Amino acid sequence: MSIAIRVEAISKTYRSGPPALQNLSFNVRHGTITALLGGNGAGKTTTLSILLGVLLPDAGTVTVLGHNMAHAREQALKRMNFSSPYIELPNRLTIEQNLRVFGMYYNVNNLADRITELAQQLDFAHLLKRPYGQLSAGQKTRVTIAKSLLNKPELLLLDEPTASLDPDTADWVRSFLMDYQKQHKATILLASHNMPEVERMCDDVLMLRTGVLVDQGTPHELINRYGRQTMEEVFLAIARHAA
Amino acid sequence: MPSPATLPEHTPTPALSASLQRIGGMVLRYLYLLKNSWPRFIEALFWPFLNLIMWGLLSKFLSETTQSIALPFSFLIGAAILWEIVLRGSMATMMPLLEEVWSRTLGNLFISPLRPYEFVLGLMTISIIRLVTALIPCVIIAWMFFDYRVWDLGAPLIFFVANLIITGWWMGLMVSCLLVRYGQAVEWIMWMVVFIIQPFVCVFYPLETLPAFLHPISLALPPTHVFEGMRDILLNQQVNATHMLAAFGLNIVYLAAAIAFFLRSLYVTRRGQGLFSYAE
Repeated sequence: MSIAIRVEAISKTYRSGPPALQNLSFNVRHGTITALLGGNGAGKTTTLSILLGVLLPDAGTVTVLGHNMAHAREQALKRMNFSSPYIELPNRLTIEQNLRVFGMYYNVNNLADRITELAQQLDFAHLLKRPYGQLSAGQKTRVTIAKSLLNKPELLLLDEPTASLDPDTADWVRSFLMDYQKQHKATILLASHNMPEVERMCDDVLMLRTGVLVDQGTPHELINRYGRQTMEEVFLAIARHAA
Repeated sequence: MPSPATLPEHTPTPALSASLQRIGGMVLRYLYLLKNSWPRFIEALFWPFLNLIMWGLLSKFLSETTQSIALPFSFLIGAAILWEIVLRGSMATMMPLLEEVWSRTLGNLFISPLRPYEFVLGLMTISIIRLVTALIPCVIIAWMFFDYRVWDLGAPLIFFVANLIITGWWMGLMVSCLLVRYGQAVEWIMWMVVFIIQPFVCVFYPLETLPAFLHPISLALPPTHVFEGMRDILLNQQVNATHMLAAFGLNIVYLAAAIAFFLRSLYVTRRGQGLFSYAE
């Protein structure tokens, strides 16, 4: 299976503070859902920022969909997308206006049709004329996911995709993303603190602690390796360095 | 709920067309913002209008009470309108970036395929749109209420306006570098920088009014040449080509430098703290 993300020996230290990433290397296989796990300060945000090309590592190289992110990030960015509950869309623009603007950034063909289709799939067709700022958290999540799917990305980076959602909506979002991944043979890398979500969705798991990759494998392999019952217990064991 | 359906596969858009579409997206975003937010639209019109009324009334008062007139006081109205081009142009160039910071949407912009030079071209286009929106009513009001026709400056007016628009661009870009490098904390400095050159560019008084030691600074700023050129036309009925060429030459140098600084700021920020910190 080919590689969608190749991270080779990247390190990053911010002006103040300890190293955020130390000689980090990993691959993400095409067509898989991979989780990037770790406690606060483990380096997940730094890793995602480097994968998106908005942050450059001090050392090492990152290749996304065959493009070096230090030099050819725009080539990769056309074929990927990102969603995070921590990044807003313009609040005063309606959903339709937002999706039209971002569709133009991503040069989406047949944009009106694509917006209609996503609105139907993500069940917000009745909200298209409403300003984004007037939506509930769950509605905002569905719209930001729609934004991230506008260009039918081959690679989707997700940060806490179900944060602040009720269990029913969160479950629906997971199913939707898994359907998308299967249907488009897309690659998904998600950062999450929700371990049941990781067990359900992910083929592979990358465990970070203080900027170092401390373990990786399938959820099943990790549970067996650490002799635990759930990924939650594995996470706690690794985060507390008690394994 | 339904599952994702398959659509016809994406076909690549030709490079130039794709680039124009991305710039168009940026422009559309600000047109939507103006359309959806009437306070922003009113604000865009209000300050140029207020300035014009103030200078128009002052010019009327001076004309009616002063006998010895070397220069028609109506030039104050022309100067006010032309200065608005610099002021509003630079603000309109930096505002889109500020709007993204205020609404915490910068991340989505920087992770899109929008290239830095497209971002710069988008800022320039938006500034022209905002200038046209704000200044056309001013020009009409100056004509209707103060009997001042800015087009009486003749063909050089086109050159003046073009130069002042370029000045607005490079000032706005320079100030935007601060925002990219240092974040929202420098916002108050941004507003200050936009106004800081006004005393040196001789908008309402001739260059000779400034102390001699300030002349080199003043002459290094393109708007000085525009306003001196404007006074030459009104006072001596002659077009001063030296001022025109100096304004244009300086503007080209400063614009190139501002674009280079802006692109460099983006790169340095990527190397440092990153273009956005989304996990706030």
